[in-house]
Amino acid sequence: MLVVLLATMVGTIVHAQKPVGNDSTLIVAENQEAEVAFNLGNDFVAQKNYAQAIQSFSEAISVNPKFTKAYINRGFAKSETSDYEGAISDFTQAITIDGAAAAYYGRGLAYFNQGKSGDALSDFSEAISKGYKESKVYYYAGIAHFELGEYEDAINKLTFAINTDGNNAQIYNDRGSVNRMLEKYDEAIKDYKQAIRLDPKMASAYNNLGSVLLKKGDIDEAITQYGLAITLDPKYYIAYNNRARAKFEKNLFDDMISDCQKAVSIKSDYAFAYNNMGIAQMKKKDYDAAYKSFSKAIQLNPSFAEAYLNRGSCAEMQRKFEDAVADWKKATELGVEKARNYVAFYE
Amino acid sequence: MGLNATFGQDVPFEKSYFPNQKDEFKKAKRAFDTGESAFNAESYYQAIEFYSQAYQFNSNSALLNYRMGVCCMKLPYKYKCMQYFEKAYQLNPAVANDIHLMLAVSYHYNSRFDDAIKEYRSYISHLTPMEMDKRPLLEKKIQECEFGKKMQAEPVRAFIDNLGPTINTPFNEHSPLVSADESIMFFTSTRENGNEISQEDGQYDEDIYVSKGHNKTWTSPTPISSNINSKEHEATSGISPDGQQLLVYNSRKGNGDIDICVLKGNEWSRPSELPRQISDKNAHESSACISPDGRRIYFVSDREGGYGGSDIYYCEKTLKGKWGPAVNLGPVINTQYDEESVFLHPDGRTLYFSSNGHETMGGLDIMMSQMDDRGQWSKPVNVGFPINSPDDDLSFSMSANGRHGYLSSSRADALGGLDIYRITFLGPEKPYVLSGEDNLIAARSQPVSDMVMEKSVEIKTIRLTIVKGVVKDAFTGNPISAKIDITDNEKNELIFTSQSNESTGRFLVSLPSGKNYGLAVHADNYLFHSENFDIPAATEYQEVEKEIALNNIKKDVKITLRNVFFETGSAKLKPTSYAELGRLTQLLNDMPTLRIEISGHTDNKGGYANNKRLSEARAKAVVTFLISEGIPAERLEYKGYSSDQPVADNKTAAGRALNRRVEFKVLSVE
Repeated sequence: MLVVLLATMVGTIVHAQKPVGNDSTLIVAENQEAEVAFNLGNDFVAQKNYAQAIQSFSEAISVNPKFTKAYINRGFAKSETSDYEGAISDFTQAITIDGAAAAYYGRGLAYFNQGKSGDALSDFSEAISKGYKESKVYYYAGIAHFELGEYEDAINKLTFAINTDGNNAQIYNDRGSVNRMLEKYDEAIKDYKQAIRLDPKMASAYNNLGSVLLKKGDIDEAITQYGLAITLDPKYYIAYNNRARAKFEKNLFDDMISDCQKAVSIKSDYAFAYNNMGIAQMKKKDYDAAYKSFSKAIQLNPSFAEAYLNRGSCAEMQRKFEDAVADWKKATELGVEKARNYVAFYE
Repeated sequence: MGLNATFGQDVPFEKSYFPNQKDEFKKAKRAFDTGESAFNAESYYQAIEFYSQAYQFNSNSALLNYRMGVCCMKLPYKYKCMQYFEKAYQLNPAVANDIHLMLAVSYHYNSRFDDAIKEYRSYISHLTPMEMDKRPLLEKKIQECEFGKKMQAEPVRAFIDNLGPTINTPFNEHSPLVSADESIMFFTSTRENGNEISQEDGQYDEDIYVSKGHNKTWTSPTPISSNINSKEHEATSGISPDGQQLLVYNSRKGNGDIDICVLKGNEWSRPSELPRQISDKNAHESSACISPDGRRIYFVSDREGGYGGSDIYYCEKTLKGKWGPAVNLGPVINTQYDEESVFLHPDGRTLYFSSNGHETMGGLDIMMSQMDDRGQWSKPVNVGFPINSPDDDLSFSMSANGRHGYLSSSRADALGGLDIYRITFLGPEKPYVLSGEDNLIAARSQPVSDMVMEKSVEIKTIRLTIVKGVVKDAFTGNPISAKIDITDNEKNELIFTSQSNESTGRFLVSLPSGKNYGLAVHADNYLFHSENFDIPAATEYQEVEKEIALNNIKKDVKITLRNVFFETGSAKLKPTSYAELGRLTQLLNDMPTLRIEISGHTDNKGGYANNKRLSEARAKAVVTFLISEGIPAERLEYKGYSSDQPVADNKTAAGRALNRRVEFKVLSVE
């Protein structure tokens, strides 16, 4: 999915340098052989034949080791094959040769895909300072800020991206998510709704809208939005699980169990849904079933602190006090501080 | 059923209704009439037996249904009366003038609070001007129903379990008294005991029974002792926290008084009377308890001069060890109605009692009040549903760790009459932690996790240390009956004294957190033994088990003085040492030929030479103190051993703490 998204947003081909000879400003090749190989590489990129493209760019570089554009394009081609280390190496080489803004952007994107938001943001900022001011660099810079917890900066960058490309549903969705983290729920709702207007088939935007409505306490509307997300994507297990959470607030415990069962029928190792199912079963005082559900969640994710916490509470209601204490101790080990208080009562 | 009648038609016990069942009618009518006689004599147990026989023949008599409802209400089966009153009213709405009141009360007992309120209001609306004096009590009942609704909507997190047929019988079981560590329970029962059954209530006379706590269950009970049980009523009233003293209600004298029995070895002493200011011959005393420090006795009495009904009083021990005058606990605790079943938690400052004068959901409810540092009691609060019920809830007691409570009550699952129930407290509500996530960032295929977490709750736990154990002869291992003095080291003040059991050597003391305690164990012909318990105010509930071996007074025996303290790095005695040094002075005064060596010991930190100097200076400081108290210098020697004689591993902090100590050694006795 990531590859598809990157192709849509970044457009590797767009960033590949144009074939030599079509632009009078391009560096005049010192070596015709290198230029031919470079152009061939771009043809392979257009065909999404990245392996051949990388080979051609490599030939160009071997002939002309100072061929910056070949490094850049090989970097993008490597990114498309998820060889981010190789891509970073190529972009870094290009930066060393002439400090190209596109190389900073490309390296930033490789870091971004590696989850190195700080390094990515540094490169995106450098690209912007070198005059690379396209919507996408602001977009990714905004997401990097978001991931670093710098929400106000994220808003600024994403707003700049929107001002440059006002028809991109994805940017509105993501700014909505930043607003949500800032607890600006009304702003978040506006952004998610705009994302839906621009792309009525964007299931994740409906799901996210549902979650903000849930936070605002508009449970009925949240359930509706989760339902729309599920209609658009019947395999959207996250939306099923979220709808179960919303139904908890309405005391609709049978419906909650049904949604959780649907979620695990789509994704059998979805621990969150087992945890929520356990809570619904506890609410129905079906402690044996709840205990099994929490145990399944723990089996799927042995570090699931909240499932230990809940299973402990379930064991308490089953009068299995020693089991309860053992689970709460485990939850404490996993970082749930309040479980320490639960243990204290029994020791 | 022996009649041809349509359901819903009132069928009185008249011959004309049973033309074809003359013999059966005659028999049933005789049972009904005998029941009526017993009913009029207020022998409700006998009455309901005959009424039940009549009921088998004709269950459609409005009057019989009404009568059976009244009998249930008078006996400890109150929750059963509803079925009879409802049927009586259905058969004949005019069956009795007070049928709406009876319906109201029966709905009340069955927690049908809205129906009860409706019927109370209906009854109030039909009061004549002459009956208006009943109105305040009826309004109180309506308030109880409203309060009951509120309590039921916010139940306390606790399991309430009938203790089952091991403890309970079809007869009454009540007034459970449980030792602080739940190792023993005393309770009262009116079960069959070889004496005569009462025709009035169908119960035998009250006797006291004992059960042992074993693996979280209770053993089959046995009668306490013929020294205590007799053909009169003896009932459990209170127990000291160490289980060595039992307060017993008896009906032999006056209006019912409280006696005290003491456990001597394995045998309980005969009851001895408490002084008049407690057991007033002109009043009824039903319940009492002794504070953990032994200095106060709280008791319930209906004596004149109270706030109405029975009230809670206390007496304090004078300096001479006698009980002082009775003091009413005052209007914060006592009301114009009844306060009963007093119990003081081993923390010494939490009082539980039953009351029908405070905010209750019906009958006597269990209340809790706490004493502040100035000795003032807080406004009592209802301990809540399901601990309390619309019927009487009595004799609450709680284990020292706060995990369990016990009470007597008559509920739908009772084996008969009053039964004993155990409450298992679950602590505060545990919020559910739901889990969910969203695809927040479209550029990321991996969703960002978003846990929905509830806020933390504050747990109030009991801050108390239970010290229990056994005192033994160090050489033979035989148990010793020893005196245990608990001293507040900061105030240099004896707080209370306990005694280990002479046959088992066992003892139990409860120490509220927030003090530095000295515990000194004395017995004749033995050297005393001391322990120190420095318990910071924030220390939660804990139990400490100690085996204390006392040494005979003979040459070379060493005793560690655990309650001798010095300024850090100095030989200057802290005032907190004076109580311990006072005990040593007393020992030397009691045995004028005794010669001892005081020795100072350190851990291995801080350099040997320094430690040598410090340990010797500290030993000398103790000797100087003893000389200042009049002990001749020639009876005293001192020596500093630095870290030469460790008693524990110096690698741990706990071990080093044990090694830093002052000891005395007997040099000669004669």
